[in-house]
This record gives sequence, C-alpha cells and structure tokens, in this order.
Amino acid sequence: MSEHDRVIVITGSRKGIGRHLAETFARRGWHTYGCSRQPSDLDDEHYTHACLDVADEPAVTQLFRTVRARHGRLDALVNNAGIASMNLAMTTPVATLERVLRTNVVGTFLFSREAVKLMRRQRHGRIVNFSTIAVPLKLEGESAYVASKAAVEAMTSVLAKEYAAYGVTVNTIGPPPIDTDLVRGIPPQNLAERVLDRLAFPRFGELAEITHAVDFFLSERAGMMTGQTLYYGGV
Amino acid sequence: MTRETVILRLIYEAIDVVNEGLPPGATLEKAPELALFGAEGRLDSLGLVELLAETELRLQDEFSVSVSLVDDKALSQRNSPFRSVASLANYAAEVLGSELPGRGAGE
Repeated sequence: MSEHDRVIVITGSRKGIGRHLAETFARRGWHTYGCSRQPSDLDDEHYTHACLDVADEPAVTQLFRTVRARHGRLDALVNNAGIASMNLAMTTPVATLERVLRTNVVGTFLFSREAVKLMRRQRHGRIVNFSTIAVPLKLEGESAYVASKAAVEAMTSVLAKEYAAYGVTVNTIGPPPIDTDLVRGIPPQNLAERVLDRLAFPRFGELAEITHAVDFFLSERAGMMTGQTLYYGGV
Repeated sequence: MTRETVILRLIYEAIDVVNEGLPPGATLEKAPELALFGAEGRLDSLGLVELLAETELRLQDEFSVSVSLVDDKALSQRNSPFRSVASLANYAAEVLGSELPGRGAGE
C-alpha cells in the first residue's frame, strides 16, 4: 500500500511531540488527523485538525465517524495527548488528579476503543501510546502523572491481548525529557538532579528519536511486537 | 421507513460483516428470531463483540449520535438484550429513543 493511502490519527498534535509526528506523517503523504483543545496552525494538504477534548466521548466518536466516512480505514493511532502535574501529593487537589487521569487514561482508552473498531475491518492496525520514564524512575512530586501513565502501560498490556485477534498491535513509548512545553515548566536545576542525572545518557531526547520508535512500532515487521513499553535513556 | 425497520436493516448489515469471518455453514441467518448469545446462541463472546461494534458504528452513522449498546444497564437486565436479533433491535431502539427523543430515522 502506498503511503498516500494510509491514515493515521495523532492526539495532542498542536505542539511538542504530537506536532512533530503530525508534520512528519503529513509530509510523507499519510492522511493525518490530529486533535487538541486549541486550533492548530499546521498547514498541510494531508493534515486535518479537530478541536476537542480527548476524553469527550461524543466529540471523539464524531472524529472517527469522519475518518470512517472519508477513508473507511485507519492504519495507525498515536495516543500522544497528555498533561502532567508537578506537585507533591500532599498539596495536589483531587481536581488535578481527575484532570490528569481524564486526559491521559480516559483519552487513551477512548481513542483506542474507537480506533480498533475501524482497524478490525482490515484485520490490521497499530496503536502507539505514550508513557514516560517518570514511571520506572518513580519520580517524587509527580504522583498523579506517574499513576496515570502507569495505568496507560497496564492498559497497553491488556489491549494488546484483546486486539491481537484483529491483527492490531498496541505498544507504549516512554520518552525521556524532550524540549517541549511540558518540560520547560520545570526549573533546569531540578530537572537535571531529578531526572537527567539518573539516565545512562544524561541528556534531553530528540524528537527524531521519538519518531524512530513510532516508525518501528508502525512497521510491517513489528507485527508480533505488542504489549510492550519501550523506555529511553537506560532507566 | 420506521426507526425499528432501519435498525433491523443495520443489524443485518452488521451480520453480513460478521459472516465474512465465519466458515461456510456457520454463517448467521438474517432473521429476527435468530438466537445470538446465550444457551442457544450462535455467537461466542468475541463474535458478539464484533456484531455489537459493527451495529454501533452503523447506528452512529445512520442517526448521527454516539451510541453504546454495552453498558451496565444492558448487562444487568435479567433477560439479556443480546439473546436474539429481535431483542437486540428492541434494545437498540430503546437506547436510541433516549438519545433521540421524538426523532424518526435519518432525521
């Protein structure tokens, strides 16, 4: 199948990793559907943006209805949308925890559920979720974020088994800190002491390195690679 | 065409898709009385999920509304709404009725 016939949905595509992936796949000629709460200025003939909350069920099903009506297929889903909360548990409001879980866990669940309904038809598909190295590092001060991403990893393992019957793989990438808005809010000294110095390669990750892992999971030869979480940096 | 008639047609379309994955001789007939799930049912749990997923997609496309046929209400009913094509159609109409009060098919 030509790249120009392939269809991918990428959540959280307005900026950061999601933006980079959306630009990359659109440039390759994939029919690329992205989403975020705010509008995107990504201008590419292969790119379509939807303004939505990833945990808004009617809005998400509408997005997949659009993909289904236009293409009748879906090749890949990248559940990149995520929010973090840097706060000690003792001072984290429940509302913050619920907001983080809603975006990171409910959003991933909802998009995966709707995606597999389409992928099932072609008996083929790839789902890539996003976690973080903060999970194996058990970073203090990030209990809500780490709990939500640990849930994503557990969900990945279960979905991998459920969706295998339809030829769909489900995997997770656990990136190191990348120079994105999500990380820029952390004081540099704090970031170095708490995260970078604990990596085998104590540096920021690069967007191209993330794309490389996504490409691997999306590749034809990764058809038996499922239920895995791939961490960076030697954690 | 009544909403009930449309729903039955959509379930039959979903059966066509499910049948593509079944061996010859095991395909499902498109009849209201066909037993789907349970003691006399023709589908295993995976097959039922396939049929419900295909039916949901068609209901969503036809009625432009987000529909979920498998929820706590469905699972807690004494008589499963998934025991036959007719009971599934009735249940789908009930779910749609709560989502689309007063609307007819395709409106």
